[in-house]
Amino acid sequence: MKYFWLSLLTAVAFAGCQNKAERLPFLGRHDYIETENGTDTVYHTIKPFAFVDQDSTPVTNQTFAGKIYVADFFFTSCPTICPVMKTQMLRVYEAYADSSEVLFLSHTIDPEYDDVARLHDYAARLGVNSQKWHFVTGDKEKIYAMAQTSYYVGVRDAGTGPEGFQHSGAFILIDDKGRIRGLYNGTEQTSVDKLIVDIKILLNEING
Amino acid sequence: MGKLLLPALLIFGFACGPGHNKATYLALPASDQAKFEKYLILGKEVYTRKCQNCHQGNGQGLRGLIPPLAGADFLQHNQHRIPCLLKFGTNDPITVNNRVYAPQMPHHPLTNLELAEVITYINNSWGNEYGFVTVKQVDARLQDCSR
Repeated sequence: MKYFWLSLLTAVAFAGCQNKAERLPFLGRHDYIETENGTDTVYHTIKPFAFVDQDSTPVTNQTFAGKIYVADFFFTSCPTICPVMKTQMLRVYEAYADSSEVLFLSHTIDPEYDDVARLHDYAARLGVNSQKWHFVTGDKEKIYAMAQTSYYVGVRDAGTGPEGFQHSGAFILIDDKGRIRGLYNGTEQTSVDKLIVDIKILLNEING
Repeated sequence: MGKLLLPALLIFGFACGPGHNKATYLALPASDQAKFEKYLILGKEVYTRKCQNCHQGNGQGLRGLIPPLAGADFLQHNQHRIPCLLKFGTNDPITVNNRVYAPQMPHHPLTNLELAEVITYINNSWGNEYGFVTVKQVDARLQDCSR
């Protein structure tokens, strides 16, 4: 009987450990570097960027240093999936409204039309805090390059009016060191539910 | 629990069963009642395909960006303009329930029947009681579009 309780205790203790150690994967291509003790894994990170947000404030990787953030790509005149994405992103935003460690970054893929004033109006109409949710515009080539090579999401300008801009509905979860820790379908409630849970897991990991 | 279940089921059945407000239905001539029911079902299908992304499944819109359809005074007072707005879209500001929206309402190449169906659905969903719209009315109202 003594052994039974001991083993039960051990099992519970280990279960607790496992739970605490639940970690999100690192997405993207990894590199390996040789060190004195063997090899180290170098994870894919978001490349340096510099855009401006709805308040004309510069937004760079530094804006998100030590924070985790959710990124997406959209445009304000989008008649198709963007409103759905924004509805879903608002759920995540509300879920972490009180956490200063969680930020949001929405890139326009139509920067010629979506200037600072348009983004300002858009964010104001959504009623979100510009310190927490940055809507950024900038050089079109650079925004598209960020999407494709840093965040691994598809964007395309097919060039025939608002319906010509095509983009994935992905939400991308980035950790405090600029690494991709999750990809979610921003048009699907269940996928976004998972994102809300994953952010919590990531916060636990970061805060030990 | 057992005592609560029956009334709960009754309320649920009533709220979800007919799927429209009874007054509008009963006020219609018998010949139109079946058509009304049909428009609600087909209108919902059009709504899901063409409207729901922006105006949301519950007709609430998206905060200050996209106006609500549920309980929208604009709908109530501008029925004559709705077919034109849906068919041709607009970039003009629209005031709904005292809030000004600057929408880019896209144009929707719907048939007049589809317009009648979806407007009837919107007019009679989420607590709205703005009436049954026939294809004939849509035909007539489209004659008056300013474009």
